[in-house]
Amino acid sequence: MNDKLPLAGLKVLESTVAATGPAGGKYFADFGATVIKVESGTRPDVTRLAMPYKDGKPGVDRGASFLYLNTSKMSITLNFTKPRGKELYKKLVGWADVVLQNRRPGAMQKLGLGYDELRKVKEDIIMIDVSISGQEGPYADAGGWGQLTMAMCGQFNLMRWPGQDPLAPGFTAPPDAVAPRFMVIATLAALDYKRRTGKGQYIDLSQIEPMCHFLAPGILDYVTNKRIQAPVGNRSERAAPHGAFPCKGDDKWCAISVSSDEEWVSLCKVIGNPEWTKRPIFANFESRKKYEDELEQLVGNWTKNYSPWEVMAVMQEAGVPAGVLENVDDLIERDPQMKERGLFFQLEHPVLGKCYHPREPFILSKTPAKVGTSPLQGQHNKYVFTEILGLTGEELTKLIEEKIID
Amino acid sequence: MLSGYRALDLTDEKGFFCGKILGELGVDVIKIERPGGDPGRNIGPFYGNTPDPEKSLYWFAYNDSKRGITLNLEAPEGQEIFRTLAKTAHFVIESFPVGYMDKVGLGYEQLSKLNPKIIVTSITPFGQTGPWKHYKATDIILMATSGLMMLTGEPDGVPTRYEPDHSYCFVGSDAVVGALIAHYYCVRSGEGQHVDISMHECMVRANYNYAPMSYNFGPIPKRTGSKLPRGHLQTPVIHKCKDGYVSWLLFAGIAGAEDNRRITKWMDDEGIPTPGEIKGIDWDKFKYSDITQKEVDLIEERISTLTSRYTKGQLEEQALKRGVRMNAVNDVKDLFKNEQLKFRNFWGNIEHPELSASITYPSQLYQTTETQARARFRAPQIGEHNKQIYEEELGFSKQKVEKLQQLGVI
Repeated sequence: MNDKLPLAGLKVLESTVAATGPAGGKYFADFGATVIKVESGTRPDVTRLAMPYKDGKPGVDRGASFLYLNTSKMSITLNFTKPRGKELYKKLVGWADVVLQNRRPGAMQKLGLGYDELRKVKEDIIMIDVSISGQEGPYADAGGWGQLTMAMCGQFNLMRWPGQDPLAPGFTAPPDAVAPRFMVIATLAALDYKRRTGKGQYIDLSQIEPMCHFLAPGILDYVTNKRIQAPVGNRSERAAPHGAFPCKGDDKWCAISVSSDEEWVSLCKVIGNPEWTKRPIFANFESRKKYEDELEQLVGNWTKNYSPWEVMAVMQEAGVPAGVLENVDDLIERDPQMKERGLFFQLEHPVLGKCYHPREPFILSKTPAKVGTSPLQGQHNKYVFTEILGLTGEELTKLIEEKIID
Repeated sequence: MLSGYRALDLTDEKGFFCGKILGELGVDVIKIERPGGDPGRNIGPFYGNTPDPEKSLYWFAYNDSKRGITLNLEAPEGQEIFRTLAKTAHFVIESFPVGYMDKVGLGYEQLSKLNPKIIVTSITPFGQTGPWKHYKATDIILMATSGLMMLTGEPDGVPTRYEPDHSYCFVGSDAVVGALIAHYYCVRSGEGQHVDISMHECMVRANYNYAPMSYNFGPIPKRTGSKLPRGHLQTPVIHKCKDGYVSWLLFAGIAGAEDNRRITKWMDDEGIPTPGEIKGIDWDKFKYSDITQKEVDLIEERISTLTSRYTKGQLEEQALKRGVRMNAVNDVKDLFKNEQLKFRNFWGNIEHPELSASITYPSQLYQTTETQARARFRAPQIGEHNKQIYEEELGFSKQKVEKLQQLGVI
């Protein structure tokens, strides 16, 4: 235990699968909590069985998704569907301050490991269940994915250009990334509440509710003005020009956003005050907004002569918000800001070798995170069952033979 | 949940969301605006479509559960008042350009001398250090530099940002996470600290791990329109129906087996023929690596045949009955009909007496067996709590407050 890490001493039992639950547990582990991830050899976390694999060869310790969602954690393999496995699970609950879960609503209750049961083991336990729509209610049993949350909350409907099909956000869905943050927020708030009142609690966190808070202005617009927000693609009510502009090279782009007259004057200066910038239709914001199709075409005619990095640099130096549309190589190899601040760093994994990892997106001046690589399946069985739960070596061997530890 | 704590919220729209969440958790959040009000009040839409700093729905949406005062941090008297308030606070949240707080004598180093436990959370476009630290950003700039835009859009089309604006909410959530981790440490050690939030980094991390993962393991994802890239395959995320779209996703392995069986049964019940190529797939053993894009397309075509027969409401109803993971692509109007949110008591009415209105808000953050986590009261009007804070709490005389007003301090 590294005492200088902010969450040192906090004990977390994590029984989660897929992306959202593990991503929440990762924050705790990276900032110093002891996080025991309970897996099962017969039914591993789905990300252990998900592409991409090292060298394309499947294997529970070869999957990249698992690697990135479970850093700094310990892994045990305990089959808690069996009675003896349940007993041990409950012992771990007795050890823990916090239990994180994201199984399908009702699944843990069915096994006799729901909050009511765990509370009998530890009265003041803090337990959090994360799901798509909540633990109870007409939609609870359906479960689902982040993309379905996007559909339900109204986000998908807006992710498009006028008159076109909704677009899938590349690679993943925002609600999957929002829920882990709220897992941490709710849990840390609950820990503070417990410190002051002595009371534990059960937290039922859905993906959809925090996501609706993201969409609040549009929701209030509907409630009060009965207006249904229309999709606008890359456009903005508050800026013109506002969009992604083509740059020199194949599929190279730079975003520019001009929200004030001052920024407009600066942009014109950067591009050499060509004649067209003096046309009356571009003289004020309302008019620039009205003629933004033409305006953006003209700006694009200038940007396409330069690399996106050149466009970003000259615009930003003149006070105009601009940003390269970075791809993966850009983020890791070229982005000077990422390099200077060290968002990405390498960690050695016994099977996967040296891999780049990201740190969390905030720097705590006195207690920065310390990220360790992800555990092999069952890597910490011996430590957890003997050192933490106090079983003897013989008992451990027997549990392995009986496939309670599998 | 966190009553008894105080946060001073100096943010502009980049950081509104952070204070809102703290406020909904019970923190006494005091929004400190410049005299005349925060420019964020001019962001639409507006109540009754009337542009007015007291009617911005954007302001309402992200500043509920906060009290509000006005204070000029440029004036020495204003700085002195802020220092007095900082002694009573546990958190300060700010989103000024890098170096501004130091310049006005209110940076972390200066405040921590008065209150060693204080946690100052600074939100800036690119962080407190580095060659871009003075660069500016709006939502689309962050979407661009995060790598998210390059992944979103039609393969040959313009890269597209998420709509509506997402980054300020992502950043606000991260700011709460950072502040509460620092708070946990403060409780243990008695020491506050400075939390440096880079919006750029928050948005890179908003997409989990895709950047280092694709860098190390490939393939580099490309824009795939409304499909999801999965190794050598692309699978649709949405399907057209009679009155719009529904979302259903093909998943392999344990994750999808049951769902795939159920939707297959549904299509069989509908009498939709199964093409020979995909007949007899054993969903329990189904892997992406064993299937071709052509076979995926056949499966998806069959599903589109099903969805095209019904409306999104009919499909969602059937899907719920059959335990199929399919949902309607809702607009905001549909969202209000969602039975699940009603069941969970998600919505909450907040009184706006000056508008003679009670407005329904997205309210609950999550459910808990202890105190509630939801929107508590409406956003403050300009200087609404000046009297409460300056006269009742700090004990300023009426004359002093009037003088400070004349001097433009409050």
